[in-house]
Amino acid sequence: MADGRSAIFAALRAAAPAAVERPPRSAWAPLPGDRRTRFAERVAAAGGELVDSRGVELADTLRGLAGLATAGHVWSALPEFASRGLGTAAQRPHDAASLEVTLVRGEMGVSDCGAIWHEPGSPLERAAALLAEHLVVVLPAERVVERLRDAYARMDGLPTSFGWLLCGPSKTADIEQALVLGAHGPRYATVVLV
Amino acid sequence: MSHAERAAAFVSDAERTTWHDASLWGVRGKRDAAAAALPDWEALRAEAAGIKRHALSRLSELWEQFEVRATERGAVVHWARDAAEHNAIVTGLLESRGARRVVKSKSMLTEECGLNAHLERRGIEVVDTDLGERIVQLRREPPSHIVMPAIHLQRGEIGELFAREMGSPPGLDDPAELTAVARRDMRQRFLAAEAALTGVNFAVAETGGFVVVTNEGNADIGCALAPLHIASVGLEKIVPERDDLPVFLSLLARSATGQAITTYTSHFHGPAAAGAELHIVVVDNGRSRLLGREPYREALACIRCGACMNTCPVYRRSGGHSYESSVPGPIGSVLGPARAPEAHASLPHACSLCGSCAEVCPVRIPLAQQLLAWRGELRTHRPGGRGVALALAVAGRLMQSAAAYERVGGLMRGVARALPKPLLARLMGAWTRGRAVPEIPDRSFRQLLDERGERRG
Repeated sequence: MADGRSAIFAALRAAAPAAVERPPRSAWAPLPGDRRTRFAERVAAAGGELVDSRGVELADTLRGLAGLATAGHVWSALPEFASRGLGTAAQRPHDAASLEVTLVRGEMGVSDCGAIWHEPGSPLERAAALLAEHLVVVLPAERVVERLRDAYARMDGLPTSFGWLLCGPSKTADIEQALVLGAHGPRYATVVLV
Repeated sequence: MSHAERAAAFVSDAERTTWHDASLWGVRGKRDAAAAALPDWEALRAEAAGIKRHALSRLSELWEQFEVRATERGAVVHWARDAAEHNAIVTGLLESRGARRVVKSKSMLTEECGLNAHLERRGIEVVDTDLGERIVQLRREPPSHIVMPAIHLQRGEIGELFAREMGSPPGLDDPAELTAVARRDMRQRFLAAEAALTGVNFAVAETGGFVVVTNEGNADIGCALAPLHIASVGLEKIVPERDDLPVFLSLLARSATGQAITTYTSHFHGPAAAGAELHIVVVDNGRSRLLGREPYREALACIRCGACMNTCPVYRRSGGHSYESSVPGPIGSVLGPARAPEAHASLPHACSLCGSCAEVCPVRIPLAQQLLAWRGELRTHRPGGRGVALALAVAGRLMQSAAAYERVGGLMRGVARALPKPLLARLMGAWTRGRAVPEIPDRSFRQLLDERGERRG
């Protein structure tokens, strides 16, 4: 049997058009208005909630979030809020299925779209961020950048095995274009600025 | 069957056609608002178009680089010349690991390859996890739109389907409640899955990584839980550098739904954990052939946002199933004939050449020009048959002489005004199906302008 790989490369070389130069990179103009206001607006537009905890103890802010004080199953990557109910043996990502709340720390916020760059520290953290009913992302306010391009420019070297931009709760509009929050993942998403 | 014949069933339900048209036009409006909110929208479109054209001119180098980098990160790269090879590779991976329960997120490539039917024949249960795709999978029909697979269906039909398939209360028709039913059903399937299949939105040569976007989180949940992730990617989906991603990601969701970005934009670089496997199946299936066809090459720049469908007056009124192609709408009408010219010969005619598709395309594919080129190439399909061909030949001759055109035009107006309306309607054929015969004026456009003294030159 002929080798598929070499056949494909031969076909690509045979069909390749004359070289086309890469265009110059766009300037990515700063947007009008205040960056953090815009970020808050974009988070809200994506169905998320933004809480400003600057000047307040983070632990107090977290305890005050709706449902957090009473949640039985919580996974937390933050020292300010303890995991509970999951059992110390929890290792497999499947163990995250019962979670009510997951708390993680975001790396960067992007004001032109409201997304947050996050690199899960473990497969369990990634599953926890997906399977909980409520995802809370804590983000230092000074890490909100203007444009999406700025976020990529700040990623040093190669990203770890997995990283993602997160924006609001899981959602769908597949039934008659009606927006529903909570498709397969979190129904609620909160960004806490510190 | 031609596009027009397949569209007839959809169009016969005027209420549904009107609703479908309005739904998609609403999405087009959201796209416009999102585009207007970025001052450099047109510059980003130009850059995205330029990056894609650059990438298409050096695909072999980019994929070589990708393969090296991806392998360094622990992924395994496979190469499939066609759909059969793709399906055989995926099936081989699943069977050798004993995976019988598989979850799959949206991938037009696996639709194109007919993967689901192939897996089911081998006794592997494959569940489409995107809500819209799950709906059409349970109805045993293909998606009708690449971003909104069930846009042709109304809530009552979905309620009936879920009552039958998932045991939800009959008569349920609230989208939030229906979504909750599907979520509960799917959660169990996610937890039981032994492998996750995904498509790829962007492969990055520089890093050997790739990006998958969803709003529902379905691709991510599948990959986060199953120990085996198989990503299928077409040869056209590669970009040179990681820093190209923000350009495309700024355009993709805004063009698709009017969102600034999707909920999840996930970057995969090798397996996520020790013991997990990541396989990437790179598929040609006609793409290298299309690369060599200059008039249609730029169709390979498509990022599958669906904006051309949402704006297309024909797609909006005829529904995606009338295209009988894994990608419908204007872009599908270019790609379909490239794959199977005879089968899809009518698609380039499902177009008024209004050009709106190219105006909204985030990578500026000249879709109307390409559709026109296909019409010229695929002479086997003649919409309207010999009558229209004859009429066009006569009109072509007449239009070569201004005097003859004016004389015959005056004569035709006289005849048309004299004929009874019902007879005239029959003579006009498809033009009067669903439309009244317009009032025939007694003077030509030129005569009217002369009378108003506005004719110049």
